[in-house]
Amino acid sequence: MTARIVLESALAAGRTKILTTGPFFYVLVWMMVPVFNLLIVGLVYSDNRALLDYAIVGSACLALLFGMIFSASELLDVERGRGTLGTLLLTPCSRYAWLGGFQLFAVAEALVCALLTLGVGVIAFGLTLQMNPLTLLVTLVLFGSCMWGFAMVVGAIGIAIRNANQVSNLVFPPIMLMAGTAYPVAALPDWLRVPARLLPFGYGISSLVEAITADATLADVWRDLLPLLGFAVVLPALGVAAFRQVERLSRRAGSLELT
Amino acid sequence: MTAQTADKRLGGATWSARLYADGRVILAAARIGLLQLASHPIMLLRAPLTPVMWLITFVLAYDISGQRTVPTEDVVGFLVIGILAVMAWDCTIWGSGNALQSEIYNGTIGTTFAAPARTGAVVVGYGLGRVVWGFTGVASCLVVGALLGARFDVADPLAAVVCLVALYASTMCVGVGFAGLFILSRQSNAMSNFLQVPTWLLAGFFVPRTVLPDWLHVVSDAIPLAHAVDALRAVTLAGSSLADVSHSMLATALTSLGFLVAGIWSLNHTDNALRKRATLDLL
Repeated sequence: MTARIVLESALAAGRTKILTTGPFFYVLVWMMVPVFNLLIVGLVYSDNRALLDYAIVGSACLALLFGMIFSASELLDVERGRGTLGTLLLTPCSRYAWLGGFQLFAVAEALVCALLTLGVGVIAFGLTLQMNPLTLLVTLVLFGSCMWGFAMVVGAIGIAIRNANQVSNLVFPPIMLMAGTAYPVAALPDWLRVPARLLPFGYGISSLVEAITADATLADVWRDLLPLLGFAVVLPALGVAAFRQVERLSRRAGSLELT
Repeated sequence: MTAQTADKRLGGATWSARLYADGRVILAAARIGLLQLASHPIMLLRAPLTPVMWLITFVLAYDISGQRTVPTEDVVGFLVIGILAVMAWDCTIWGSGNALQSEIYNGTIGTTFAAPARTGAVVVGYGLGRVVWGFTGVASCLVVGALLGARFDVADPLAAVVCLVALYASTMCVGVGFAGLFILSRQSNAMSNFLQVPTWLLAGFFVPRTVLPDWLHVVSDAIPLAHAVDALRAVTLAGSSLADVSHSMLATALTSLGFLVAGIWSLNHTDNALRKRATLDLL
């Protein structure tokens, strides 16, 4: 039953999003931004093969981050804006079921966009793929868990201040700066590397780059995976706590729409 | 709006009276736009911070790859000008381009079209509001650029001011050009979101236009900001004079004019269609 709710919610979320924007504009907005970002960074690194390969995978990761921040974290606030959040909170099923469904669509959307970006990297910049499927799978699971938790925290803040999009736009540039999507975190100057190491993104992206371009085994990337594992445990817990706090706010405000 | 319609709407007012009326509408729309932005506390943070974050990100990208000049100009200076162009472009797509969408959101679109003022003035006003809003970003970008070691070579300060004004003026023209298109597309927000990053690439904000493939130059050359940025970079980073950049300035003027004419046509088309059908539904 729960699985069906998750699936139906995902389909409903996807249908609503695509039909609201229109298929043409949906593709333009949600699929093209990371691709064009890759083209810019790719041209910056056109004379440096190692950095170019890194930036191509980094841009695919940027697609994941873009989806996490501008799609997954804004889900609840979008429902609030439509006036349907109250109905959803009163639905006689687990809140994590419909929320999970919405997020499932956001994840699928982000993955498609990441694959598209990677494809452009292969075609336009000649990226050679040397994948290690196991390392890739483990990293994606851990990285996905981190991003889910992070999206929940950012989303909770967004809904609490009643404008998730503003929060997304505020946090995206600093994340771009420190996540290591355009360059390895290890190459950053100290004043940026230290705060960057307090975020999960650099570890995840570094490990993904190794898994996709260098056939790295789990043993090769354990230094990145270990901290990523820690984040993958802590961030979802924080995300659930943040979502519960939103529910408490709702009760305190005496309004299911938090308005 | 045809000249005849304009005459009717303005009661056959003189050109000076029309210009005065347009000026007041522009200022009023700019004020509304500014107040709307200021009503979001996060926007107060974003205005100075976001440009700086983009600047540092790209300075690091070039630095890590060992490039100190692009193509012959100082990297940090090149990027500072690029970020100024990004902010100008934001004024176009989020200010002017979204002006009428903003009126719809506020429930005032009917009043805007029924008022005896030119819709184009409202569009320009929103863009101007965005320009003023962006001043903190410009300042923070220049300060951080200087801290990061940007080297400027300005031989003719007046030329630099003229090129900067040309950058923003071309922005306004593109904004007017897009306003009607955005509204007729019924997806103003999506259009703004999409047009953001491709223009960064095509107009050479972060990479010089010379690295673009030949077939893309046709598109790139049609963007007024691309020429304005070329001129501003030449004047501020290579010590060029206005005469040196006259070719770029002419290209800026011609392409801007193209957008302006397209904008006036599309706004008139929207206005006439609304009046003919007596409905705002086409928005």
